[in-house]
Amino acid sequence: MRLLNVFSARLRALFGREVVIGDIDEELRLHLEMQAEANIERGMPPEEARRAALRSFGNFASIKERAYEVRGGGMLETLLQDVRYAARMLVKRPGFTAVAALTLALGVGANTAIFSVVDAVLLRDLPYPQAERTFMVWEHNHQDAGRPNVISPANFLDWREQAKSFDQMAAFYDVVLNLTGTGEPEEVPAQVATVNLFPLLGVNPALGRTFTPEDTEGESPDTVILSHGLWQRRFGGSPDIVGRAIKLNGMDMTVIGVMPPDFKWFIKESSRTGKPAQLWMPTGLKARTRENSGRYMMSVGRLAPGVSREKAQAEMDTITARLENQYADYNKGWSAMLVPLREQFAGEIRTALLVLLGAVGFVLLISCVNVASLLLARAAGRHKEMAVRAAMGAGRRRIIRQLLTESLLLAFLGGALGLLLSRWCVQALVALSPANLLDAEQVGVNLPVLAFTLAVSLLTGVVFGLAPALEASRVKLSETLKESSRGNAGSSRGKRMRDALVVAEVGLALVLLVGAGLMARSFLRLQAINPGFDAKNVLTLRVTLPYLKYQEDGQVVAFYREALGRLRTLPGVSSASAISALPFADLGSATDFTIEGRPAPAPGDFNSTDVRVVDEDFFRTMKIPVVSGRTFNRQEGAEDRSVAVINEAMARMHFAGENPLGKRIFVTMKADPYPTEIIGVVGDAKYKTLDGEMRPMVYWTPPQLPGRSMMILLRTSVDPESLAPAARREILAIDKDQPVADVRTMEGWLAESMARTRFGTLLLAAFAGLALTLAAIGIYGVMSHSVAQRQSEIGVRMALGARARDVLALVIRQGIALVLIGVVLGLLGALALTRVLSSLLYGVSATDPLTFAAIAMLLLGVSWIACYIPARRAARVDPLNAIRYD
Amino acid sequence: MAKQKADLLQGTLDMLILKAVSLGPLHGYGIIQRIHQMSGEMLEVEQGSLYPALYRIEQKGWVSSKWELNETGRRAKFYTLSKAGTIQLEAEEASWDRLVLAITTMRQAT
Repeated sequence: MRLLNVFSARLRALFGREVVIGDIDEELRLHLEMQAEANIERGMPPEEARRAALRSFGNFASIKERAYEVRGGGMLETLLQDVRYAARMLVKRPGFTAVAALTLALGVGANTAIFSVVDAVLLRDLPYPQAERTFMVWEHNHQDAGRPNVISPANFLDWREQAKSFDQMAAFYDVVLNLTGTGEPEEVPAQVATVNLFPLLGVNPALGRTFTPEDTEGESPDTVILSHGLWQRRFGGSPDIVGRAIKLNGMDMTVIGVMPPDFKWFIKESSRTGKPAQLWMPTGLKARTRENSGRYMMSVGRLAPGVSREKAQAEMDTITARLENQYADYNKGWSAMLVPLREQFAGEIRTALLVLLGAVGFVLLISCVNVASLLLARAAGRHKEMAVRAAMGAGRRRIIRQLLTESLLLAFLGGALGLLLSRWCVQALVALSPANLLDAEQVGVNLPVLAFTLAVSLLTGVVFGLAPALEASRVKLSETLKESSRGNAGSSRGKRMRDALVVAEVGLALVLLVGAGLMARSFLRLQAINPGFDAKNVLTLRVTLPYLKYQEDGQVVAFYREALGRLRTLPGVSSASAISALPFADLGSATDFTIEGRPAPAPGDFNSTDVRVVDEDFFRTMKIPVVSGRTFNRQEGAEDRSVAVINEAMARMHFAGENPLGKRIFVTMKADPYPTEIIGVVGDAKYKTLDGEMRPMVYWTPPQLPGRSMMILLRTSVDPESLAPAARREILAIDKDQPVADVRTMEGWLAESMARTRFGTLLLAAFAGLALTLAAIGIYGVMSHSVAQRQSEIGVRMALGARARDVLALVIRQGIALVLIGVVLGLLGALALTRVLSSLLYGVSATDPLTFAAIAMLLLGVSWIACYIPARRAARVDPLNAIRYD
Repeated sequence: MAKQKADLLQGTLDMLILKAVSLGPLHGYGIIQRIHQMSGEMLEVEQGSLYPALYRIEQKGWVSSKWELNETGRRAKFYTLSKAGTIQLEAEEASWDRLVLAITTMRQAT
């Protein structure tokens, strides 16, 4: 009850200043009146009575003020007072304020920018309702545990039927389709999905309708749904799009709907196209059996209400165990794994993002340290002011509160500037980031980001303001007021604090620099890896032949032979070839095989190999060396001769100690009744990632396993891109409706595969550079200040005979001593922290001594310069002036 | 013989106010009067120091206040002793007695 009274009284006082003052006023006036009346009763004349009453009261106004203050009405008032005063102080020293605010702005700005990305990628709700209960369902093989594998449609159908834990399951896969008709033929990335995909994701078309099971009845589906982007770009956003007929792969399709503008459904991991779909087609999966199709789809499921992930996984395990028994040949060793949607999208970059967030945190800390030492330095000069305040009756708490207000005001100023800076930074980030990494619309300054900035600013203000405030308010009244204005080097406690700040700065900067250094080395190592082929001067372009026009294998093979024949005649082309899936560009196929003459492996244990279909000139075009035997000749390139070429990894793994030439293998994918003969072994080539391990590879020629989609490669003697138009023309000359896609250089593909790593490394390096600069500025500032304070001491030394050189050495020595401590602490810190990076590093250990040593040297060097400049200035000073300056 | 005015020891003002109010609700002027009265007209509280002390006591919850009409029909703020205030008064009186005893004992020592 008492508390309530107190609280309500304070509240009233806080918000009702006028009311409270009026209250007090009335009460005191009444008192005055009654006193006056009493005086009148004693016989005083009325005028005299009033004046006597007033006099006996004392100073009416100040009593009112005191009374008001005791009532607690002061809080809001004093806060406003403090803020006004703080603002005045900041304006009085524009240089100081500018430097401090800018330093903070850099720290806060960088943090906010990275946090925006973290928010967009890791924190924000996915744009699908119930995304938290949606999971990707992959298959995985126990031999390859942990690696998600594309799924079998036949298995999917069984899962869907038997699994009760999911109330919806959908399957899909990415394809490319040739869009012809209006305008140039274009290859459009698309997705074939079961009709319940959109209902599962909870997103409906903005125009028209979603798929229904009726759409999959009949020979082949002929309804499509477009993405908003495709509708705008290719069809001009025309409002009569629903019901329109378009030609895809030569077949007539009807547009039945258009998805909303920001809808995207793209699983990069196992997408055969590597591009987000712009068009959707339904499929009923009826004709897919285990006999006629392998694993190539992806699936997604939504948990039924009340079902947990563990329960669903357990049920899937039961189902897959059952399927293993039923279809041992196909399913032995296979089970299903659930991956939450958020993890699917963000898992890959989570570590890197968090590392970056940590890095900018360090940068912010360094900015705080810089500003704190600025404040400390200034506080040393404000001792007089503090003393006067204390003498006037301000308690220590009041002084601290006032100084903290200054810090907070500064922090908010820096924060506001930082917010502006971060908007610009985010724009730059999105513009420079690799494709498909950041969604431009998603990343931006929004409510959580604003709240974050506010919190960070507040925290910053307290962190860098508290120490100086505590220090400055610790005032020995009599001493300070008596002191002449002899420049004091500040209390020893203040100096210790400043020293500690320098050490902290150096340590933090070192940790960050080591991290960046490790990443940089790792990236350089990665770049230096030999991919096994010569990527220079190779132009690539993709051609996907539509089924309708090229139904016979013979037609497919003929097309590519003609295309390559024509391309070889182009001036500037030294060799031309084709491959079913380009290294670093496409997702290739893999299959299992057995070797003739060896016991068949137990069901569930199988030998798997990657496969590629290549034109006979492929190895020459890519400059992949032949290790033994030979590669395909022209005849084998034109006819089905059951011959294959393998890579060294395959030879090592399965023909160790023997000669693989002449041996024969049966490969499941080819489904031939007769085996294929190995005619040659070629050098290993990297296909997916530079740092991945080498997998066995088998190469065939197109007549054996024709593929409608091929990547054509041209080795050029001139700049590869200059031949792009000519190449396109040759293809169109064979078939005027055949689009050509993904025209790039091989080097471009390689670079893109490393784009994310490069981006992350660059960012980290940028932050480390920023940290180094801030630390250097900080050291310079502290040294300058300390030297300025010691003018008289230096003057005395020089007057007593010290040479400029000695003074220089003295000052630098003292500064470097601090830096050394910081470096040692930083190295220890780095040893502890860099293990966080180990999953991101290639070929470099997280405690690589060379990097540590190099960075330490760098930091010492930079710090030495930062100490040298002010020291030199000090040594130049005329000793007479120095002593005189008192 | 003129009455000797006693000097107020610091800190005792709170106790006096509480005592005054313990006999019944009073407004500020009335408190001064009653203290004057109850002390045998020896204590005159400084008008200037009354109100800050009074507000502080109210903050601590030892008295509660209410606007009411006084004897001449004007609006005045009346202060009443609260339960916490009663306890506080007892405590202060007890410590005062101890203090007096201690000093008296000292005075009687030779």
